[in-house]
Amino acid sequence: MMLSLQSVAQIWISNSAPKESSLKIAVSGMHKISALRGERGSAKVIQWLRSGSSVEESLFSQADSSASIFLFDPQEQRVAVETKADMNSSAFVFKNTEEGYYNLFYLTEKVCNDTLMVSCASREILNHSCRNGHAKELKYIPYKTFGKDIPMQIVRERNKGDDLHYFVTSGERLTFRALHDGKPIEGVKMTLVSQKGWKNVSYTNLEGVASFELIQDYFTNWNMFDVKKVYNYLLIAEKTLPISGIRNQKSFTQTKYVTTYSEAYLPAKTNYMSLVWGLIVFLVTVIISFIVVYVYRHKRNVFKKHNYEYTSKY
Amino acid sequence: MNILQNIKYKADNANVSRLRFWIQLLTFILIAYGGYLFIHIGSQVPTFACPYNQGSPGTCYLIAMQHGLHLKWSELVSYRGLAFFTGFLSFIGFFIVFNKAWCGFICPLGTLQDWITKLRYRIGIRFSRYDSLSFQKLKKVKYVLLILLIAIPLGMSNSFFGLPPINHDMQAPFCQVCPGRTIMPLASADTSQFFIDFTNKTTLVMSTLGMLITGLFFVGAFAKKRFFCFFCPMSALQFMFSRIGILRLTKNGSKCTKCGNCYRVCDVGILGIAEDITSKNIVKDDCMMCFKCVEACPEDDCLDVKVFNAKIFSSTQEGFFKRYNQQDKLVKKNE
Repeated sequence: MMLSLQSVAQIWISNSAPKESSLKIAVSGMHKISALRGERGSAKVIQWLRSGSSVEESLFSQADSSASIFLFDPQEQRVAVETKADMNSSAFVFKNTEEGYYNLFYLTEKVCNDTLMVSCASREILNHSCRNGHAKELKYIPYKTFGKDIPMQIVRERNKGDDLHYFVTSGERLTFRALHDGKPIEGVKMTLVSQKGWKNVSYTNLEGVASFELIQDYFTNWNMFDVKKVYNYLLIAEKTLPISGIRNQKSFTQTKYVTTYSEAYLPAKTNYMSLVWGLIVFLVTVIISFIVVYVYRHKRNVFKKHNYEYTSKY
Repeated sequence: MNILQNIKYKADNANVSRLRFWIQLLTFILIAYGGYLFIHIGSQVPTFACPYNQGSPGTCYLIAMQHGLHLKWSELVSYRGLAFFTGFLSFIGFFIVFNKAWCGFICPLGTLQDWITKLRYRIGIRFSRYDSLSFQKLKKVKYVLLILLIAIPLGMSNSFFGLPPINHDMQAPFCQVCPGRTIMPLASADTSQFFIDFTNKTTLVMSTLGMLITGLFFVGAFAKKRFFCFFCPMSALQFMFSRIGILRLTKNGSKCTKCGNCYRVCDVGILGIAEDITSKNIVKDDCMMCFKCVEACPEDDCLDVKVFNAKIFSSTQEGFFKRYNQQDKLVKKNE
């Protein structure tokens, strides 16, 4: 039974395709979103369902027939999403025609023993292409809440400069808010897992907020450094509330909410900017000290006081 | 003349500087690339075998010492303290064999400075020297650095005078500013140590200092022979044990005419070597045992290099003139 609980508990939505995917996938654009290739019309975004708490090792899962799948466009309108089978796993396919964040949710409810397990996998998918043209100054895009349909939602508080070009980077402080029926909830256990498996746990405060520093976990030789290396983090939020009731003719005395939120991140700019600055400081030091040594030697002229012409003037 | 006397006669007339050049070249290759050849010489090496360089076959003792001193007072008298003291004994063991010749013959940073000096000489730019007042003041810098590199790791684990422990970002503080950390990896075509660490204020200041000192290293070594050795805390640490080294540099003051040749050829510019006619052991704290002074001394047996009191290289009039003529020919050829 515990195994079953675990597998239900850690369902999340991934932008990465299974290694041997039967579908033609293209990962492109500013935000590196996976899309189906070779289909006419506007591009179709594809996201996969995975199970597990490790970003790299989680298994690709099949969608439960009883699950509810919600997709909201940037105007907060519910739009259609297609479920596609891909190598024994399920993928969600949809058209992203509007500019802004699409919110995708996969929701399951099961009664195990006397507990109602409410598992929700969520992902915000940003749709933007500069080719479509946009204003010089981009607008800050606030997060959207869907308390009416999603019992426990996790939203990422927007950072400074969080616009259509924004990409989370390592080293940033990420703040998440847990909302139960659209209202902040205290004491939610939040676990942040980085691409390489680093974990950190925090609990939400009265305002439903918990924050983490997204540590650097991309390390490579300088000459191999990829500034556009996309990693994903996974946030798992858990909270048990004394909410009782009956679901599918099974009664329960408490409700356990497990919501996951995943997002891509890039290496911090400081990774390469620190090397640029290092080189600048070094070169400036070399140039200035060379000039200082040259000027000092030129002015000093150790033989001047013994020079007849020099001394004869005084 | 028996075989030993014959060898000694040849050694006294030899061009030790040329031999030193080849030893420096070979040891530079060993210390910069020995790791790639599966050579390992431990972590108590009394010279800049910088572990930041992937090809390094060993580790400079300064980094091992700084890590080893990151201990609480109570731990210093425990097994952890014992590990530190055994490491320290290994360092002394290494050091006893070559004494300060580690600096003159083996140190890769010293070798690099000598090569920069050769480049300057080829270009035809004169070198600088410190005046005696500046010399006396600046030579204290290496002791200050040595005290800091011992005190800071201890201050990270302990409280001094009721003050809070020092920030852990200061660990291995000397390595953070040492030009060896940035320059030695260049031998493996690794430029990754040229960076400014923006993590916090401490790392920002230390890494910026590191880059500044690296810049000064190149310019300083170009303007003045062995510029960095003058400030090197390894040199200060070695000097504390130089009396127990089996390799010695001695002077017979009664034979010294104070001609000043030894001072003129000294890369570091130690005036005491010419002026001091009372001390027998003339290994000063800045001395790197390059033996240029012995080569340049025209008095028989005035300066001697000894191993366990057995002379292996002595100053002789014949050797001096032989080397002088060789040098003269070289200068004329270059002109």
